[in-house]
Amino acid sequence: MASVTADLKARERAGELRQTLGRKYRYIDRKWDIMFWATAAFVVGAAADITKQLFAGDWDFWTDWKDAQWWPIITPFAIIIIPSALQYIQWLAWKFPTGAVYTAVSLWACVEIGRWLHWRFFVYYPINFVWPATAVLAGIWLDWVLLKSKSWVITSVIGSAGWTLLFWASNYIMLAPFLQPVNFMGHTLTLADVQGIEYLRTQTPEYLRLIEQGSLRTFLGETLYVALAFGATVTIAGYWIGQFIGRMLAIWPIGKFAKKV
Amino acid sequence: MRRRLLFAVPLGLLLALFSAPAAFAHGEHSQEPWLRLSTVAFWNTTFSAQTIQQGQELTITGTAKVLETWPETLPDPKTAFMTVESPGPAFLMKDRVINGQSAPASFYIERGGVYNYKMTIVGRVPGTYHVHPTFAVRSAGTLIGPGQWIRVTKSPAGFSNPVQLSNGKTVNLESYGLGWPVMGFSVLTFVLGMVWLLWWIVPKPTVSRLAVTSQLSVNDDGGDAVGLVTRRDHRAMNLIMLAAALLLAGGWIWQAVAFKTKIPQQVDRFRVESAVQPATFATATMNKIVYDPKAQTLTMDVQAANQGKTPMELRAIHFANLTFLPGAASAAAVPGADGTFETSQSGPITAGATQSLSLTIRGRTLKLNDLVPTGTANGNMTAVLEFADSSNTSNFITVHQFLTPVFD
Repeated sequence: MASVTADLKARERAGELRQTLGRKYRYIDRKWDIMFWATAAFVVGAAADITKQLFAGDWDFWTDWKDAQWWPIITPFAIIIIPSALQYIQWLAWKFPTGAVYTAVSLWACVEIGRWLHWRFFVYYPINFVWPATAVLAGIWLDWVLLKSKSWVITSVIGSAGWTLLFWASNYIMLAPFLQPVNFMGHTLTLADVQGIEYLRTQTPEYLRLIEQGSLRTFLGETLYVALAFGATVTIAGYWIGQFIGRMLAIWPIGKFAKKV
Repeated sequence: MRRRLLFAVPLGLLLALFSAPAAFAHGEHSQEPWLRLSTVAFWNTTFSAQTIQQGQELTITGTAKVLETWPETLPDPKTAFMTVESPGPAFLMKDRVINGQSAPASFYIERGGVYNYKMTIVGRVPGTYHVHPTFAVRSAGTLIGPGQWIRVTKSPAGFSNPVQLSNGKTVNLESYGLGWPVMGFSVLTFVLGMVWLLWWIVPKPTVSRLAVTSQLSVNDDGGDAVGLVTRRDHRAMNLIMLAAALLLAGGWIWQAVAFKTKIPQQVDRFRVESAVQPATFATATMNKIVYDPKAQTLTMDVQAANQGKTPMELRAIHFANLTFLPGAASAAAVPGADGTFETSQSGPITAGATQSLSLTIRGRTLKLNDLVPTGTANGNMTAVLEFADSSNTSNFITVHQFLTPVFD
């Protein structure tokens, strides 16, 4: 009996919420939505790009930096921070599992414009050397995990681990042609190495290139899988950094000053 | 008031535009004199041409020495990289040989090491550029060698960068892989992401959803009953997730088939031994170095000893990336030199003799190049004296002394 009453109440409640969802407002219409999504894209894209540049700048920039050791560790960590924050905000506010994809798509648009305009047209670097990585497939995975689990913990563990793997896997497809061997200056190098040598970067001496260095490779004798596993772990931490930003720097301050009606 | 502003602001901008001198330096003047003088010296720098067409080669040769006076305040010189100073990839580096060895990447060096370099670059972007060889040392920075204006003219055939792969195939590195997979695959992922986004953004209102979501807990989406996230939404997202997986799988299969042989990026760094130097016949010490700013004169008191069997003479003085050859200050500019020096010694130093030399450099060249350390905390000046004997064999002797400036 009690459960029937509770069930009835729950249905009533759901009905009320459904009605509220379908309600038309006098002063809030779709123009607000368009304005928000369109303008926020630049802010979100810029925030994601700045975070990525600060932590993983060169690794995202040049083909000869996209190695099997540092690139899969540092870049997914750097790029997940803002998508995680946006996931929190958009799921909490609207139950939209779109935070990661929205950030990845905005980031993609911002960096592509930047690379073409600044690096191709202003300073003549070929785009096949300075192409930016894409995080969209990884973002789809992260949002899909949130949609299915509705749990931040599960999203942080499974979502972040998948984020790292998908980030690397999707961008490896674009990197593959540049890993073909070439005999250049009497050495066997990759096409990416040749790009790095030929296309002058005067204030970036080659010794600054941090690739394939460190003792990580001695474990199991296989660099990539260890790097991916370590990258997945580090990305989980990155996810929670993003959650902190979303909760403490976005939602909590709004809650302090906005009135709940 | 507004009219005055309308007149004053454009006028101010115009004046600023036409009064500002062009900046031609490459940042070397921002480095302290002691850094440039005591670390790496350049000499015998030559450029094989001054005008090339797009696609044509230009060779830069010369010598760079990591001086014995490398400052103790800097970490020991261990790793170096040679390249060319140019505004971005206006040129392409096609070959780099250091002491007879191909050096595609950085190389390991030693204090006192002499490195004869030959770099071959190819003109790529039409324009006029001031090009320098550079010698970068880890934890010290980039030291810039002598520069020259190089003009790259447009080629009627345009520019391409053919590179032959190990499998024999030749690709144009300017655009290889750009259409597919670089932009093609990337755009496909963007399109898929937009499909995901637009599914939520277009049919469903955004802002007004807050009225409902604020009444639900974070882990509760209300299900079909509320309508925030329905079964139809789940089905659509599953399909997009599947499409993403298929796109990824397809891409992976394609790259595995298209590029069967792949290797990781290489780090080909190795030690380049210092170039073998001829037997030493000259030694020198600098006892005093004086700079008179009013007379714009630098005077060096040097004691030089000839321990060889034939007479020797002082052929050149090298300061960082500048070279001074014997001659009067009033004489016409000496080709291949940044200036001239006068010496108190007339004639060569005979074999076995020790001579005191008073060397004078007149003019503003050193000062204009920010190589006179007046007004700085470190007044150490280092120079490389080039002595040559009668068989034309040269000895490059590093001398140093603290500057004595003349005050008013």
